[in-house]
Amino acid sequence: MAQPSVVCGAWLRCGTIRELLPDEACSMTALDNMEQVIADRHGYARQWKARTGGKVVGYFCTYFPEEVLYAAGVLPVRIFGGHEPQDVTEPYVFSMYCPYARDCLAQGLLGRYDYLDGIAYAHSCAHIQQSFDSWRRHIPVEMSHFLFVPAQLHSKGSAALFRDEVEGLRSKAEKWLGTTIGNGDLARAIQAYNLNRRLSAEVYEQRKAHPPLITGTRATQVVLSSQLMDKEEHNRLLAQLLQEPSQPGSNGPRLLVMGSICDETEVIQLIESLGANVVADDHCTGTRYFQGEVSPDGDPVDSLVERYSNKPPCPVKDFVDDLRREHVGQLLDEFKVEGIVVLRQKFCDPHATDQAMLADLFSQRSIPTLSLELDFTTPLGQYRTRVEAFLEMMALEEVG
Amino acid sequence: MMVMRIGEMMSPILAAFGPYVSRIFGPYFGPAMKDPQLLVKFHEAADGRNIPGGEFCSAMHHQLGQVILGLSTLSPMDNEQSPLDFIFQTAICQPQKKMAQLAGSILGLPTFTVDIPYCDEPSQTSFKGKEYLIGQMEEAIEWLARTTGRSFEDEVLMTEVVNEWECSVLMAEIITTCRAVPVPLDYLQLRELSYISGMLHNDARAVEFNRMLLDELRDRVARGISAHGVETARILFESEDIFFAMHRLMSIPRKYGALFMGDRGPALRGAWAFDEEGRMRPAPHFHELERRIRSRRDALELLADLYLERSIIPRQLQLYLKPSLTLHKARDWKSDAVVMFLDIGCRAISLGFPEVKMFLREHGMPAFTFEGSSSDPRYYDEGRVREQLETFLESLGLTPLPEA
Repeated sequence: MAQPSVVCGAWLRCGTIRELLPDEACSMTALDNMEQVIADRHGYARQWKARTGGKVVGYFCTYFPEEVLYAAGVLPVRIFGGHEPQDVTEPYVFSMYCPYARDCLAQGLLGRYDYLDGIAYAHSCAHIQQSFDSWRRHIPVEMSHFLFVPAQLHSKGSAALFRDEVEGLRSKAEKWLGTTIGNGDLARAIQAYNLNRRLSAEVYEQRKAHPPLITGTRATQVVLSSQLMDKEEHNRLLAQLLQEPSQPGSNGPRLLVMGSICDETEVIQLIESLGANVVADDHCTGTRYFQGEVSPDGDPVDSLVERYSNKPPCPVKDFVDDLRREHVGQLLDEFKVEGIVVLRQKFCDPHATDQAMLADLFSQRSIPTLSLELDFTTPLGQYRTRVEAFLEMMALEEVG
Repeated sequence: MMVMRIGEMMSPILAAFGPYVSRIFGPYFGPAMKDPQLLVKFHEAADGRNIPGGEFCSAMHHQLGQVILGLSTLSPMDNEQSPLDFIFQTAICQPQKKMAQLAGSILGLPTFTVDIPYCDEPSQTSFKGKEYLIGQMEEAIEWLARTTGRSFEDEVLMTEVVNEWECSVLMAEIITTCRAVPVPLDYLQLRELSYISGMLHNDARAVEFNRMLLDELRDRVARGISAHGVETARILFESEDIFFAMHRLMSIPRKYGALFMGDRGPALRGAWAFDEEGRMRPAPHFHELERRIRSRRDALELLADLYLERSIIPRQLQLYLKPSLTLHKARDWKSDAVVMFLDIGCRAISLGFPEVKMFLREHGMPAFTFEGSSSDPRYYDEGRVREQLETFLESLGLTPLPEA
């Protein structure tokens, strides 16, 4: 029996916000829809395939230029973990690789992603590369692709290399799908993605208010669901969300969460249940996913390269220029951050170093920091104690 | 000029700016690797910066401890201060790059990073990594000129690039010679003799040293001189060096008359030609290339070819190739088995080992992995490793030799 759609209505083509609104009445709020997509991400993707007859490609890393596949009618979905105990990755991946990477592979090996037609990876870190490699070896897919992304994104020759890699992906997709991905197709995909970025940014702007007009949990759901959904469908939900009454946060302390990839909302939900507001993030599954639009002018591949090279950098792509300090400093100012919770995947070298490099920025600004280590499952009891202590300490400092 | 370096590459570029002292991985890297107590002291200093040991590249972690403790400018020989001028690194893995960046921020030193590109896409035919690398080399030259205030001598660059090519080809020939039965040098001996190539690869004296070594090895092979006299089994040691326990680890198979051999570390210093199946043979000598080095661009192109086309370093991370590459290597070395170290302190070298192990076994090559840390004694259980390895060796049918 076919599963019911979690996304309401028959959607119009992209355009202005007014045009984006669903043409049928919908009983669910946009946020509820998004939450449901996250909870039933595989159901959504399977249903999308059934509805459209299109192919679905899972991808790792926020540097992957999804627009190229979307332009060919493919649904790119970001691979997320399942946060359940597992014992299937041990033969393939050594246990000192990060839990996120192993969790993703586990999801593949357990058949949760059995609807994927392809798997792709934009080069970021060894942990995810290991999972990608085991995926392409042991989980049947029609197409797999490794896309190199330079670590020195602003060096001589980096744009040409990145461009060549994007063209390589385009050619491979064309051959695989038996179609041509023209510049017009790319431009349309870029338009849909840009709109999504703009609307996501608009939602995030609401977090600057005091109290924020949307909670951190809900805002995170907005961005996570974007990485799982057809962008045109997600754009409609975003447009609907911006028309709906706001669901403000509390008057509690304003926190920034940052660190390694964070593909769930449980920790943020816990923090907010204890009276704080998560008003901003610096995660590749959060702001770093949607910040920075692709220029609609000029050659679309050049524009894609420019956008992916200049978006707020991941620590593995921030050499020589040292842009992370400025970027994080800007987030602290814009969102009036009073405390930071670092969520770092166990064994994540880039973010461990990043945290050490930013420590003096936080101490200069007298911003207290709490560091929590992420693993397969989320130890909510332990986190609760630590977050409570952290919030109490913040309150005492304020009194003192 | 005094430079802290991460990685051995790009020496000809530094040399073209005149004399310099290179501290690869800092002055205490070597002494600490032989002194577990000092290693632990360094690791604990890094732990104090909220960078947990056991979760980070352990070589970089203890180097960071040196920096935090203020020892990166202190000579271990005479306790004299010798301030660093800058940090220059060439790396393929992220922990090395991030460590240099963090060390630079702690020490307040200018830091330059060169990123070595690689692609693991089997169908990719137009990987433009070479131009990217050359572009970074050109930027490094501009940066070094600004940072040091020295002028760049193209003639020196051209000479030293050719030296490095030759030194690397000779190293590959030395390694290939060591594949003989009986093996003329075991893993440890070959590794130690390869250090000259690692530290001085762009120096004419290293080229000469390798020529002498090659001649001697060929003579040993022709006369059937073996590393240890007894060779009951040849075990390919395909692992990061466990620096502080290396001699004791190497002695384990000797109890059975077997030996560890191979080129995991030394091969990084070789120049190779790879056939379609991933077999390695020495790259052509410079005079066989029919290339002329008449300009800076020519020299940088040759260097980029050496690092991208002729080096095993990018191939260590090309997981698509790694299993077949390791199988060919095991067969070329006439190995009876392969031992791999799942190093909690090095994700890059351990990358793909579980897949390699499965592949080797599927192709009839016994393979074994053991766990620990290559440079953090807190995460290395020596007794357990010995027991595991002995059990594996006995599973190959080996029995301890009678005591002399």
